[in-house]
Amino acid sequence: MGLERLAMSLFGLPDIRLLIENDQRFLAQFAT
Amino acid sequence: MKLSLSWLKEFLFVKHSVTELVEALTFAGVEVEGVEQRGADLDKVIVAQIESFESHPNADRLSVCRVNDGSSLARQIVCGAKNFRAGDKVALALPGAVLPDGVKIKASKLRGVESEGMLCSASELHLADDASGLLILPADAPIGSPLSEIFPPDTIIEVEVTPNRPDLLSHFGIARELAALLDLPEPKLPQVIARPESAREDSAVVRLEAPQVCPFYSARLLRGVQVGPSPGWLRQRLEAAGLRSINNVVDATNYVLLELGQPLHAFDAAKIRGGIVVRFANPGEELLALDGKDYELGPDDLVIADHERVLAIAGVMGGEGSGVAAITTDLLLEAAYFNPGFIRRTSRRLGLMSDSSFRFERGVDPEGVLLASARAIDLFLKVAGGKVDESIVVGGSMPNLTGVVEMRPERCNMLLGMEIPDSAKLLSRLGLKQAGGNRWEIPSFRQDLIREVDLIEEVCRMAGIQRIPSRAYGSATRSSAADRVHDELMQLRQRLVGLGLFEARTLTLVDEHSLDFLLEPRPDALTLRNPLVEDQKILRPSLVPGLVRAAERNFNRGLSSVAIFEIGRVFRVAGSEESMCLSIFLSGERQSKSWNQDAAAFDLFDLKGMLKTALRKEFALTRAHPTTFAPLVCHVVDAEGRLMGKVGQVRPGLAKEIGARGPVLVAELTLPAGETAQGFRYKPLDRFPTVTRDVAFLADRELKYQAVLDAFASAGEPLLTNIHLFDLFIDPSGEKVPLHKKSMACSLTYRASDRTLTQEEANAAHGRLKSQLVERLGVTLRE
Repeated sequence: MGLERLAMSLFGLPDIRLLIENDQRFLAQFAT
Repeated sequence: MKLSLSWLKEFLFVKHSVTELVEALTFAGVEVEGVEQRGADLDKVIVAQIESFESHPNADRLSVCRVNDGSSLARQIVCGAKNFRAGDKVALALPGAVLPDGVKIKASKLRGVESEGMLCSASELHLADDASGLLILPADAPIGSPLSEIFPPDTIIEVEVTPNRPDLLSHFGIARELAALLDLPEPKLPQVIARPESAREDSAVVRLEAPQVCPFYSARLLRGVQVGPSPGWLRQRLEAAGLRSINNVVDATNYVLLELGQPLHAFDAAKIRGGIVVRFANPGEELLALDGKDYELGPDDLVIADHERVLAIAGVMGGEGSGVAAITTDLLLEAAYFNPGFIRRTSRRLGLMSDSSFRFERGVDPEGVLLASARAIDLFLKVAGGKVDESIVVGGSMPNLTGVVEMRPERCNMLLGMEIPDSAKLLSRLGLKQAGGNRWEIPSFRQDLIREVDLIEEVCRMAGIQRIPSRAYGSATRSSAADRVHDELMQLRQRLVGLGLFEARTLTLVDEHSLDFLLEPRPDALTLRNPLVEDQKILRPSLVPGLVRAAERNFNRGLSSVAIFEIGRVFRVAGSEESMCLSIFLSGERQSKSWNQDAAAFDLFDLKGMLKTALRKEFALTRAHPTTFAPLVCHVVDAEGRLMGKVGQVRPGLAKEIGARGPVLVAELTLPAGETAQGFRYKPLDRFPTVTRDVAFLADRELKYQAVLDAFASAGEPLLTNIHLFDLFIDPSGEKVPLHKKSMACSLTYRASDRTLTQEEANAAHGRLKSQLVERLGVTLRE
């Protein structure tokens, strides 16, 4: 299993493309 | 040590297979190094005598033999060997016999001559490696009898006994262990007939000069023996155990050594001048030992001497001059107990190891010494004849080596990690006797059992180490609540550092004066009874005083701006509570003057923004009671109305005192202990566009923006997603806006999560919110 699928499972992402789209609203969710 | 299975079976009634015995020993910690079959366990291989032979008519290398197989008719056998003569007794494999390598013997013709069987070499029978010719049997071998009577089959088990178990260095010892392991009846010691009728002390015969090394010595006299070769059974036993047969007397002592584990020595009584003296060697004394080498002895070596010279190195090896020889008629049999350490030292120093020293240096069973002596006398009488003295001469007394050790069953269960309900039974099987409660009397042959843990090990061996369930050990541990708290605090630190703050670490102990630097009335503080120094006497009730001191130090060294934070524990008397706190100290310039920008000083909004970014949580500030330290104090209240902490601006006079050039802002928040964010889950992104509508209104000057936010929130409008104050206007002249009023303008964002909003929907929602605002706050809308 690739890292992307691990991340999808971990954070509950519905779509793998979220990981490469760089939508700032998405990125903001990961800001620490 | 090599063990003969047939010898073991003299003591032990076992139906177990060799494999089972080997397994029992191995699991009990006695390593089995090898198992070897000996002798001829062969059907249809018999003793036969060659009556005559002649050359094969058609082959130069073959002979045609006439063989007597015990029947009335002679057999004709063709044979390729040359090493026999007429009258020799040989091993004959009859037709139907199967040799160890699988060859089936049948009657056949060899080069035209009938052969009714096969004469075998030692190698063909797997008795020895010799394949050069026929195995020639002793002349007294009975013709026609099975070969297995001459070479009785036996299994040799070679074991490696650990140094702590000298009791296993004999056949009886191993039998006793096997009986315990396999829960068989306890083996019986050999019946001994020639026990002495009395024991007497006679220093003319036995004198002990070193009782600390040789506490007990016994000597028994046997007259009129006939030294000669040992009978076959005795020879076979010794050879099975890997010992060479020497003569009947020496073999008998070695037999007892292998049987009972007690080394003995037989002297030629005629060569002893005076009596036996057990003493340390004199410097420079020498002995020609039985191995044919000269040994130079020293005052540390214990020797057996007579009144003139050294006869033997005690416990190690006898001397050539006093040994049993063919002409010997009178024997003196030594059976003694030596201190293990001394025997070992002498053996190491001389580089001389023997079966005797091997056992003495590990410790023999003191209670077996006299039994072994009598057992040897029995054997002497049987194989060498003679007449034995009714009494035995002894010197010294046997040390009492029996002890009592306590073993608590619960300790045993705890150490082994499993319940062993029958531990007492298991110990009893090993010959231990219950001596009241959990106390156990240790038999004399188990001098290795000294501590409780030794008994627990015995229970483990007996129960079977394989019975202890295996459990995963050191497996991956799940992250704990404490881990998550730690991780969150680390992330909080990183965010604060990212905001341009430095992390400070201050002392946990502060001075009395520090209690004046608080955003609340002075609390009861925990004070040390015996402080080492005066300025470290109070457990800090807040991080703020420490930060104030740190800032003061920085200002004094010439810095104009200080922006530091600390995360640490604070201590309160109330509730004897320790809590994790975050404090921030801000003073100076957020941004210094430059060619493209003006200087900007830190203000309360900077502090509020930092807190919001760092804590990632919505909160509101509400005015609270001022303190002498900070005339302006606000409570930090979260969305649920809980007090998170306080922010405040320090009294200007004090700020100046510590060296600050402008306003000083501090914050202190209590971090929730253990309460951590849920695992992060993705929130769906909004897919539909937003609609923005503005609202402008006139409100009283004192109206707080928070009240505006609350008014909007109270409408419960589902489409409202964001509120933003984009304009605030006050007119000091009162021309555009009345003096006691202010103008505010907010931008409201609307969105539906499942569709694109129509203008009408957005306008309707906006209308509802506007009227809510008017209704709740009494503001005047500016259309």
